[in-house]
Amino acid sequence: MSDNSGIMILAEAPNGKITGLTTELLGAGRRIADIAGEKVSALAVGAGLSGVEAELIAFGANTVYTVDDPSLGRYTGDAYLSVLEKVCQQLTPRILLIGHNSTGRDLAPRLAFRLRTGLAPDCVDLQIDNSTGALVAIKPAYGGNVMAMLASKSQPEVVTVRPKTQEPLERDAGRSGDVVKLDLGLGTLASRAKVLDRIMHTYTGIKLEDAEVVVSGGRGIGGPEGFKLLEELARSLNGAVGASRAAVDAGWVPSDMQVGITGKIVSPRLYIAVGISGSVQHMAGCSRAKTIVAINKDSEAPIFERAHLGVVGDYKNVLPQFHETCRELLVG
Amino acid sequence: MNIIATVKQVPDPEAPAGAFRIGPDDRVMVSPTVSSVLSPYDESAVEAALQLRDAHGGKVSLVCLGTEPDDSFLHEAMATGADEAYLVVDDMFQNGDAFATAYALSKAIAKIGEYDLIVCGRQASDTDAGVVGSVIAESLGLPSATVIRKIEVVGDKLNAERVIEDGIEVLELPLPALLTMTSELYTLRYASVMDIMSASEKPVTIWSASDIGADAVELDDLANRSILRKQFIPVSQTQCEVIGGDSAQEAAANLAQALRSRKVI
Repeated sequence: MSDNSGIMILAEAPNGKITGLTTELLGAGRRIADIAGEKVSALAVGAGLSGVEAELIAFGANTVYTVDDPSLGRYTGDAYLSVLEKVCQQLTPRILLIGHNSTGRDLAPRLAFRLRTGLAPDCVDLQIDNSTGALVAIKPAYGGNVMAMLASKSQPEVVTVRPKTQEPLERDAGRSGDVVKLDLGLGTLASRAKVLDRIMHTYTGIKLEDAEVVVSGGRGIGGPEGFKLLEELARSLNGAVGASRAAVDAGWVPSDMQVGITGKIVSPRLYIAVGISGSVQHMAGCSRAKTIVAINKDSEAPIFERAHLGVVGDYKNVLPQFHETCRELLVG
Repeated sequence: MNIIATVKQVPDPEAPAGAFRIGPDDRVMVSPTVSSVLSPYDESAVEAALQLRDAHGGKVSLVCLGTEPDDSFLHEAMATGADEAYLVVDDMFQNGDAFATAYALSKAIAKIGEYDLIVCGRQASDTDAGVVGSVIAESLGLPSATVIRKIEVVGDKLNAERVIEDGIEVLELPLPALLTMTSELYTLRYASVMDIMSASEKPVTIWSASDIGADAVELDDLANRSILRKQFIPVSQTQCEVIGGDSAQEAAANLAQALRSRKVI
């Protein structure tokens, strides 16, 4: 066996603020570290990281390593890969947790290849085997119809973790930890893939991923006009509007509204699925919602096997009254 | 411009959940009733390749790691316009992980030799892993980018729109490069009956491990570090309470009341 030890998470802090996914990785790292008797470190790579260290400790890191370089402000493939490769060689973590977002998807396969180690991608659960102490990562396959349990023969065991699947710790400014600034001596960090421009969506309402209430529409909505009813309901409930892939592929709504395995992952208090059949691929994006409501005219739709509450009926007849009663209850 | 698209045959992801079962060894997924299709994101990669060839000339080659020396899938896949196909089949790659697949495909691509761009699906719809493309790029020493929705070739460079959280990045990469493709702007064109008939005449080259210079020692060094312990079918424990009423309106009002009594709204 190798001498690798510790659980390292890759922290992301664009604009100097750690992301929600970073706190989820720390929560997961802390949980398995406590079972495995390991320590948790956070590796922050970026530009202008002062202040980030304390936050990472407050969310559960025992040690924070920083690689602070003006050229690392935003993710670029080759530069981040060089940094991660060097850090893993120097610090030899046993487990490396990376978020399964645009950074993790791009970085983790290349990193695992360079380190000659295995990769468990897009995992939704992490367990420590009681008898052997080995990490077992659980990853949905076949769109979520099947779950695969993966272990690794080599270290570091690189795992990318699906957003919104892990519970962060409560922020506690009383936690203590060490901060180590790393000087990797890598010289100029450049990437062959150069970023010419970043075009960010502007949001007028609440961001889908952050919304406490999500009202989503699918094929059953029948066209872009139907989404107006959903928007009105979402506004009254202080929520955001999402969509299934069917509605996006039909061109009724833009793709950044897609909820599902290759769209947004949401975990609201209330998820209202309107005219959505409930494919496994869609449910992978919303199954962490506390309450799922289905409104669908097909009583046989799979959504009724996954929802907590449902009404069988045409949304055009159901939604206006539902909206009206909600409004009365909210005012009253 | 010569473009290589990697393609994979997968169980139809639109099949109902009940069609997916795990074999008695707890490891292998069996789906006898599910038909095989071209992985949906690979369709987008093929369409992107065809559009670039149509605009800039050259050819589109498909490369596939298969389990059997059956080239009918590749003839079907060429009906939409690809010019030629290569199928790698060897016991050495059976039951391998994503890194083994990437090793086989990168060896095949190196043997094809002349290419300006490699396109892959962002992830296959069976494993949903998204590993193979990036690892091919690493193996061949190529610049790469993942989850690309649009490609434009400008001289000896390309511009690619990469989907990120809350927006897109416009990247510039030197050629040759490898990109993994997402589906939103590339929907695979239809093949006519004539296309399907003429595709049966297009060449498919079948290669073994030794044909592409793959060897077991190198494969062992580069791949198969992951152990698939077991696979299982997740069980939903949710019990849906269907809210009724004398009319749709009454059911709707009852639903809102039910949410209130559960303190959800």
